[in-house]
Amino acid sequence: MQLRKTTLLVGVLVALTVASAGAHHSWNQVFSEDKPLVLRGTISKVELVNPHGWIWIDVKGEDGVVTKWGIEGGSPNGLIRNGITKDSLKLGEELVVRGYGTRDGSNLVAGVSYQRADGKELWLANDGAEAAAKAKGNLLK
Amino acid sequence: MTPLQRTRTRLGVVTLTWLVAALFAAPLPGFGQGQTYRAPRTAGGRPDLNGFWQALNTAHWDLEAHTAAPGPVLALGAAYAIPPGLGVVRDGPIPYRPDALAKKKGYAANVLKEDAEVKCYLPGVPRMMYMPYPVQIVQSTAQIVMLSEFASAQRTIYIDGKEPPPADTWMGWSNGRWDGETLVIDSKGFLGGTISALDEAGAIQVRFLDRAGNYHTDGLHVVERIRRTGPDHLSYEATIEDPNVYTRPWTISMPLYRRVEPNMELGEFKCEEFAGDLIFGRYAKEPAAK
Amino acid sequence: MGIEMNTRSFSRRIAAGCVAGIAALTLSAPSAIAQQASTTAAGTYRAPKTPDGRPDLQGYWTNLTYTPFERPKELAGKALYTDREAVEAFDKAVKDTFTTDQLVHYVQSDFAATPVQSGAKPNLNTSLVIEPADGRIPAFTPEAQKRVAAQRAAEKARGSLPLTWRDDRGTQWCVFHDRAVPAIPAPYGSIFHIVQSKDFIVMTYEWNTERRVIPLDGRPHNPASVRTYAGDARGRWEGDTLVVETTNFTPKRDFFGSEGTFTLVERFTRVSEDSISHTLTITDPTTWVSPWTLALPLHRTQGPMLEYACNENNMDAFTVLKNARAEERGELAAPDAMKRGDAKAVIKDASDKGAAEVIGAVD
Repeated sequence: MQLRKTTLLVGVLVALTVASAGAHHSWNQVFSEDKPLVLRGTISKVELVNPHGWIWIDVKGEDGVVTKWGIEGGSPNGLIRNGITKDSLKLGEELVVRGYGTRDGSNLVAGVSYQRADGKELWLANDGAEAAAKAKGNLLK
Repeated sequence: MTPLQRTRTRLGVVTLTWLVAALFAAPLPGFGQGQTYRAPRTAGGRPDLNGFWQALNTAHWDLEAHTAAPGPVLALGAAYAIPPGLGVVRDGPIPYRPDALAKKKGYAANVLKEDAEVKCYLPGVPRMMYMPYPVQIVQSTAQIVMLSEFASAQRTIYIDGKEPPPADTWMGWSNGRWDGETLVIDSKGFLGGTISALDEAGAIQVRFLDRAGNYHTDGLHVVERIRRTGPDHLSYEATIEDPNVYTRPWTISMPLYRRVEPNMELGEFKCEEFAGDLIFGRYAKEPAAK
Repeated sequence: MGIEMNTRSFSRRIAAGCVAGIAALTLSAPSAIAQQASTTAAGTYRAPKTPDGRPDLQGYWTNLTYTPFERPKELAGKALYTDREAVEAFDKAVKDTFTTDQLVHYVQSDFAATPVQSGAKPNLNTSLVIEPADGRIPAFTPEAQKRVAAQRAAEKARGSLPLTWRDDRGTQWCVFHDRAVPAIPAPYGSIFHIVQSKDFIVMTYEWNTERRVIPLDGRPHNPASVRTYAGDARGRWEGDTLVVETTNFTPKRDFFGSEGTFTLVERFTRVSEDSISHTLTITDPTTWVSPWTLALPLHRTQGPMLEYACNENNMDAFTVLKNARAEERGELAAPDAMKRGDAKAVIKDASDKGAAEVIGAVD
C-alpha cells in the first residue's frame, strides 16, 4: 500500500502561520480539553526527548496507593534555550502539574503548568511573558 | 679479519640495525600501514576524514567470533542466514556481569522483538559505524558530522567540546579532540530502551550493539579513536564501558573502507516506512498482512 | 574560521529590557530581503569565510516567522512594510500568538517559540510568497484542479478517522518531515543546523533530524528513476551566494498539490552576522500556471540541536489508532475542536474554580 501522500493543500496552508495549530500530531485525538486535571506527586523519571519530553510522577492517592502518571511536555531543544537541562529536574522532587487528561482515561497528561514545591513555575519561560508585555499590555501572568 | 669473521660481523651489524629499527618503529595495532601514515590535511589543517566509509565485516551480526548459523526467519533461508566471522573484540570475550549475561541470552533468543534495527530505531554508537551501510563524514573545524544511510542516523562531534550532555539521546553526545593523526571521541549521555509512554508493540528494553543481542543500557560510555591509515582506509577503535552490563571496559577494532566509486552519496533509506505496519499494525482498521 | 559554537551558552537568554525590547530587534537586512531572488547581497556586509574560502553559512539558524504565508487580502498591493509597520505587525503577531491565539493546551514559550528564544525577527515582506507580485500561490492548471478535486473527494469518502499509521500526520512525519525541504517554517523548532566542508554542505532540520546533504562538487543529477523524499540537491557557489537546485522528488510527496513533479531552486546569501537570505523558487508547469518564489530568511538561533527520534517516541500513533477503533465501536465520543486562549490562565482558572479533577494528596 502506497504511503498516503503528505498533504499540504492550499486551504491548510493559508493558516500556516505561527499563530495556527502548532500540534505536530492530532492533539485532540489523544487528549481532551474537557478534562482539566491537577496532579501532585514526586518526580520518578525524566525523559527529555523530542518532540515531547516526559516527566513521570508518582502520585499518592488518598488511600495511600501510588500510581504513575506521565506528563507530556515540551521539546528539550526548547527547554535548553530556556536554561533547563536534564540536571534541572531532581528525582523525588515535588511537582504540582495542571493540564489535560486523555480521551481514553490512561494515566497521561498534557502538561500546561508545572509548579515546584516553592510555588515557582518550573519552565523558566519568562521570555514569552516579557515579549508580550513589551508588545502592548501585560496579558501573560 | 678472516672471511668468516667478516660475515659474522656483517650479520651482527644487520641484526643490530634490525633490532634498533624494531625498537624505534611504531608498534602496529594489527593491520594497515600503522601510525606512520600522514593523512592529507583539510584547509583547516587537520587530518582529512571527509568521505564515505563502510565496514566490511560481520560485526553488525555479532561482535564476537561466531560460526555460521540459521537466521531468525526460516523462510529467508540461506539469503539471511548468519555468516561466520572471527569477531572484532580485541580483548574478548565480552566481559559480561553474570546477571547481564543471562539477559543477553534472553535478548539473543528474542531479536525480532528486541532489536532497535528491526523497528528502524536509531542504531546508536558505536553500532552506526559498522552497520552494513555507508557512513559519510563531513568535516568542519568546530564540528564534524557523521551520517549513516540507515534511518537518517547522524552524530555531531563537537571538536574540543567540553560541555556535558544537556539531555540524553539515543545517538549520545560526542565531544572530540585531535591527538596528532587521531580523532578521539568521548561519548556519553545515551538512552537505552524506549520511552515509558510507548505502546508495548514499540517498546524495547535495551539497545543492541549487534544483531546477536550484545547490548548496552543508559550507562554507556564510548571512547573512539579514528585515523587514516592510507588513502582509502580508516582505523576504527571503540572502547565500550557500561557498569550495568560489563565488569570492565572492552575494545573493538576494525578497518573502515572508503567507498571510492565516483559521485558516491548516501541513498535515502527512510526505513521508518518499512517498520510502520510492524509496529503500528495492531490498531489498524484492517491488520496488515504478514 | 570555525563556526560559532553555541553549546556553551545553555543559560536562558536573559530578556533584559534593552535586549528584549521589540522595537530594538534588528530587522532582517531590508534590501536583501526586499529584493526578489537576487544573487548578491546589497550592502557592504562581507561574510566570514571557511578555511576553504567560501562564505560561512554554518551554525544554527531558524526560519520561524510570524509573517503570513500568502499576502492577506487586506494587504493586497502592498508587498513591503515600512520599518515601523514591520515592527508593529510583528509585535501584534507575537502578542496574539502567545496569548489569545494560543491553543489552550499548548504553551508556545515552553517550545522556545518566542522571538527572544528563537531569534525570529520582523520581516519587511508582507507575505512569505514574494512572486507572483500579488504574494499568492499561482492558480492551478486545469489538470491540477481536476487532480486535487478528485483527491479531496476521495479523502472525504474515506472519512476522518485514521485507518492506518499512514493517516496520522505526525507519524508520516517520522518517515519524512516535509518542512525540511522546501523549508516551510514550523511554529516552533523550525531550526537548521548547517555544517560545511569543501565538497558538501549538510543542512539538518530539527524536526525528525531530517537532513539534506548537498554536494558542491559539480556532479550531475541522479537518473530520473531515482526519486526521493528530500529530492536530489546539487549546489554551486555563484560569488557569495549558494545556489541549490533540487529535482527528483518522489511522487509520494504532495507539496501544495504537486505530486513530486516540482523542481526547486534556492539561493542562500549571508547578509549579516545573524541572518541568511534564503529564497526558494518552485516550478511545476503541470500543477501551477507559473513558478512561485518564497523568501524565508534564516536568523541565528542558539544551539545545540538535540536529536529528534520520531519513531521511538511515537506514542501518538498507537493511541490515535486505538481511539479511532474505539470511536468506531461507539466507545468514545468524537473529539471536540481545540480552543484558543491564554493557556496558563485557562488552566489556572479551571483549577481555581474547582473544575479540574484533583489527583494526588493535596495539603
